[in-house]
Amino acid sequence: MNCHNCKRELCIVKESSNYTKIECPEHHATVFYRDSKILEYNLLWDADMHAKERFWINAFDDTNYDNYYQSVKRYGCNFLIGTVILKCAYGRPYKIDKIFELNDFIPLEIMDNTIQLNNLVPRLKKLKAFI
Amino acid sequence: MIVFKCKYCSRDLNQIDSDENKRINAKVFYCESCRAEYLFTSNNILASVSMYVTFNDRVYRWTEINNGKRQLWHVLNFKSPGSRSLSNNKNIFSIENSTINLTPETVINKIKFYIQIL
Repeated sequence: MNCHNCKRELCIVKESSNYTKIECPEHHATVFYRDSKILEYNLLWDADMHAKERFWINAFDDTNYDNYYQSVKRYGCNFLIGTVILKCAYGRPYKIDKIFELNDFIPLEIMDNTIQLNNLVPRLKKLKAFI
Repeated sequence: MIVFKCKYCSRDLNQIDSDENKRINAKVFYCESCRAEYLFTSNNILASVSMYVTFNDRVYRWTEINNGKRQLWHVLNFKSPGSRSLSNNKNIFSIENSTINLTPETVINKIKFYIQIL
């Protein structure tokens, strides 16, 4: 699987009995999966390069996790299935603000082995204009 | 006795008594004509304003909390306003630090918009 942003291949960074974690070498994307099913993903989305507007999208389905710690890290979100959008400072992805949480897992679209944001970005742009 | 008025139509609000509200030490007032619900703390500070909307045979509650949070809920079995029970209310989404302030006239279009794009 290749990154939506830099097109580099995502590499395995953790393997456990619950999931396998793969990550973009430039940290644009992280995907957790088990048995070829995506359980969670984190994507960096540059909404407006000129305005330096950068977001993180975290979508997850915790009903498949056995590990309690997976649900505590959701930025204070109580959903078991959901999507959280965080605004982050450009160039400083560790400084984040939660702006939106949705009680629904938006599936990750993959085409030609590359992550696509086609199903995601138009909706996020509409939302962004209204929130 | 304090009389609260609806901020949209200025009519007097009716207080809704329920065990649930007593348990959380809250007072809930409701405006029938605007379908607007006001949640006050025990010392009469307004904590949130909610509006109920029926769309596609479903009842939704749009809640504006005074800390800037906005929430959309699907009320699964609507009997009367004021219920906060999670078994009867399914949260659709939450927005942090928002300045959106809807009115009974604008809330339906906004909810239609959200439901369509989500």
